Amino acid sequence: MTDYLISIVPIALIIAVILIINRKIKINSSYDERQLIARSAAYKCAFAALSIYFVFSELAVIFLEREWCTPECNIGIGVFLSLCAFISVAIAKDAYTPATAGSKGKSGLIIVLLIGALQLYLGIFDIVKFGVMKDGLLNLPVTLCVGMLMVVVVLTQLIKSAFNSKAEKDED
Amino acid sequence: MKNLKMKSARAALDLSQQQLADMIGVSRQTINAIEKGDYNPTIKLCLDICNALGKTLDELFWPE
Repeated sequence: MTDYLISIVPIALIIAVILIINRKIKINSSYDERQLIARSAAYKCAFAALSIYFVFSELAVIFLEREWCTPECNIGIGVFLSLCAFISVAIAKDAYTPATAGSKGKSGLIIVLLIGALQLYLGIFDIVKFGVMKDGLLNLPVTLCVGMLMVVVVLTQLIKSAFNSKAEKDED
Repeated sequence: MKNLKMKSARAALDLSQQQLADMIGVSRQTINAIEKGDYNPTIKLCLDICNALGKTLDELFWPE
């Protein structure tokens, strides 16, 4: 339970910071029509990823004839994969930040990176202290999943930014 | 199919994709996708682009 609270607090913090930044610098946080279509495709991918994961998870239970991970770990991995799919597709299609955010989105990326690093640290600390197995079942800390998710966000955004800057140079 | 007419109209006004995107309130990538022919804009966005570039729909979007 404490594990979940530790994971929820930074997410609430990120949302609060983003809302404050939006108000302070008056970012028009709306997506244009192409981005809305791209985001709907990303939602579909996220749903597919979650569905496929739970199918494989249940198949693993059938073949092993026992549970392979704790329920909270199972949910954590499913949500992690689903969000990774959504974020990756949305970033790849340039539909992750609002249309008019521009370079101001970089400050948000640094916050995500810092909180992601903190979550990873807590997750690795939990693994070192308690291990990854609990009663013979895989039990990854939720903080590790949240940390990895944020690292995925930052890495995907950096890769996409590199491609975008190359495209801008080509345009010039 | 690439929209070269839109690209040349933008270049004639000495506007970058980002500047045009800011004028219309869309992302630079959306302008890029329209010019490359990767995205078909709605009539509303077409009209916004026409207004920003001072052209008619026929001049920018009617295929020859």
